[in-house]
Amino acid sequence: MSAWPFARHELLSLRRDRRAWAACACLFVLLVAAFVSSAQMHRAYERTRSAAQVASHRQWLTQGTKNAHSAAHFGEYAFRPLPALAPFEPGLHGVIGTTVYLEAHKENDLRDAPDEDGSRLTYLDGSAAFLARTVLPLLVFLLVAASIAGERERGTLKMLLAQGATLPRIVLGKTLAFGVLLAGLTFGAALVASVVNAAEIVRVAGLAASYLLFALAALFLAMVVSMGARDSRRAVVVLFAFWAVGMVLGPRVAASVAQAVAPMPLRSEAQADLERDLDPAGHEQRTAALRARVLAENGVARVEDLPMDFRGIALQADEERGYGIFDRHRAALRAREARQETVLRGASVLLPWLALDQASTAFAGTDLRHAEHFADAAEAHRRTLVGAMNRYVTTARGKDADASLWETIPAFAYEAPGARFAFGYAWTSLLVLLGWAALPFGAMLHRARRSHEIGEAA
Amino acid sequence: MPDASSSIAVSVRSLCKRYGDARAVDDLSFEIEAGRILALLGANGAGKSTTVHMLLGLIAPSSGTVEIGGHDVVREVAAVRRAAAYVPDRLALYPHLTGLENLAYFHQVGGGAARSQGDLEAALERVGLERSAFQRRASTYSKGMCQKVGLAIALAKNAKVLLLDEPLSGLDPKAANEFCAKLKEIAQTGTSVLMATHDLFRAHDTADDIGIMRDGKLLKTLRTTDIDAGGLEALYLEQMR
Repeated sequence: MSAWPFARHELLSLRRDRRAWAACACLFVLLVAAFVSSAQMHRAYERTRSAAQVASHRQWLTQGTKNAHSAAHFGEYAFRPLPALAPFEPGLHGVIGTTVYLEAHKENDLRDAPDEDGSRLTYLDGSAAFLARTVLPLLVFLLVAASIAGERERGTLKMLLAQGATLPRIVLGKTLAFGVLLAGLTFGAALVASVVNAAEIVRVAGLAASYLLFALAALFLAMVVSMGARDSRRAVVVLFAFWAVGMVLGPRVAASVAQAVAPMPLRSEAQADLERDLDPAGHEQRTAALRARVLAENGVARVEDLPMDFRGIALQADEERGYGIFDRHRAALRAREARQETVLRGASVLLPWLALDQASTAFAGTDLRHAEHFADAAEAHRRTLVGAMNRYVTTARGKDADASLWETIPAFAYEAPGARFAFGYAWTSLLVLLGWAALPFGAMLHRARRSHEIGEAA
Repeated sequence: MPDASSSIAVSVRSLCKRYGDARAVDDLSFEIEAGRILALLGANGAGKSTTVHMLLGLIAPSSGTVEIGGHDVVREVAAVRRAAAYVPDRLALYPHLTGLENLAYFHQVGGGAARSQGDLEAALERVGLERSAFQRRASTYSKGMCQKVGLAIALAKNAKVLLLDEPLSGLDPKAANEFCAKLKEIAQTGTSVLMATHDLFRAHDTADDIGIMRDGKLLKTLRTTDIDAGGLEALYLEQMR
């Protein structure tokens, strides 16, 4: 006797249960609508962003004849491209910031501009992804809670066993039916997502794998609870408690713990710390020391006798000192973020919702690491631009620059990392989700076998 | 290995079920020969249902042995369940399936030989279910109709032993009479029947043997040919004192 008759029966039951059918259809339509509108939103956003990036560079090119250092202050904007899947899964995109103003002396809008509360959870953002990962387990729990407990309550489980069916087969059959339903839902949505975002098919595959593993984990857990519950109402209560703690309360507590372990400074505090290290009051003294050193190296007594413009050397030295300070502060902030991430990843072992949140934002390209990738590219471009301007000041000896210099600076062109970048670290989240699917699956089979053997199944 | 020549279809020896200090079934022993009907009489809580459940391996015995068709229920539960069919007191059907679909499903999960729709319809007809009910969802069935489908499920299995747990409770007199008549027909084909009930008079009309249970013990066993219905009632009431 295979598990298939039980699976077929469960699928027939689901088909005839209009509430289950309607709930699954609603979720599927929501996901499809989210992906289709995502693609439209992405195209519209990218048109605007590209136009803004072109306009910013045109302003740079047409700023006229002026002092090169003034041009470095004039600067340029770097606009972060919207990841194709961001409208589905906004993650931290937008919370962190999407635009960087590139100018001399300042690493503006540090990509790590702290959130209001320093939390890195994508809470209550109302996105389709958030709804999917919150509603999906609830849907699974409500569908599966009565699967075995309901049979026991009705008395049909006793009948099935008396007929010669075994509990492991019944459980496997039902699990297969729900698994087919969830896989259909996930792959259907992923197919639509792949069609409308053909370039992101690998990221879509990562997303689909994450959500499917999460749904399967919820399914197996629900089966274990349903097997142990006397009736379906008790199973629903237990599973709702799992949902409330595991999907709502637990992640919030984990985020608070992460914030307590590695508190993120407020933006004003971070800025004040940076200003203190930059020490503008010591500028004159540092310049005097540099002047003395440069004069000595060149064997002259006055800056006018130098073969280059000392102002350019001083500006670049000041920039390079700033780079070190900016790098140190950025590294310190990232270290705090890394500690928070470690706490959240650790917590995700207990709270699979967190693992899914991490995997989902990683594959959508809307997490912190993707934001950092952009910020690093923008900062590298700023340093190229400012360095070129300072070199000109050094060599032009007071002569204004014009378009021929501005044209040596390429337009800021950011290439977002590919799917491999996301897989490079999101595999740990996938592994956690796999574990969360495997553990309750094993528990489900073990419990089914044991209950059957000791005659406690009915 | 079962003894093919034996006419004992059900053999229960020193069967006990304990829940802590409480004994739900206490040192129960009886046999049912092929083609005979044994009715277990007793008040609620006498241990009748627990006995039926232990016979099916749905509850593990604390001690003692049960053999059905020569198969031990602890060691060969699958063989026991193949050899026995079960009709509970409140027969549970899937409300979203028709009577015919319920029969087909339960027959299939029992690993029974594939049956055509005609065979399944014949099984429902045999237990007296109206044809117009075959394709109706079970949610519209009365209790009597559900019991008839239950009996059809049991019969379709071609089991050598029928285990019935209060099959008459909730049935109207006509349905109960029809049900008992069917049981007698079935027993005449060589099927053994164990019927747990507290309906003294129908037990007397239907069964060949009567067992009276109280507090998990089998107090008395007798043949229905040895006593009339009134005498059985008096004996039963005496045992319940």
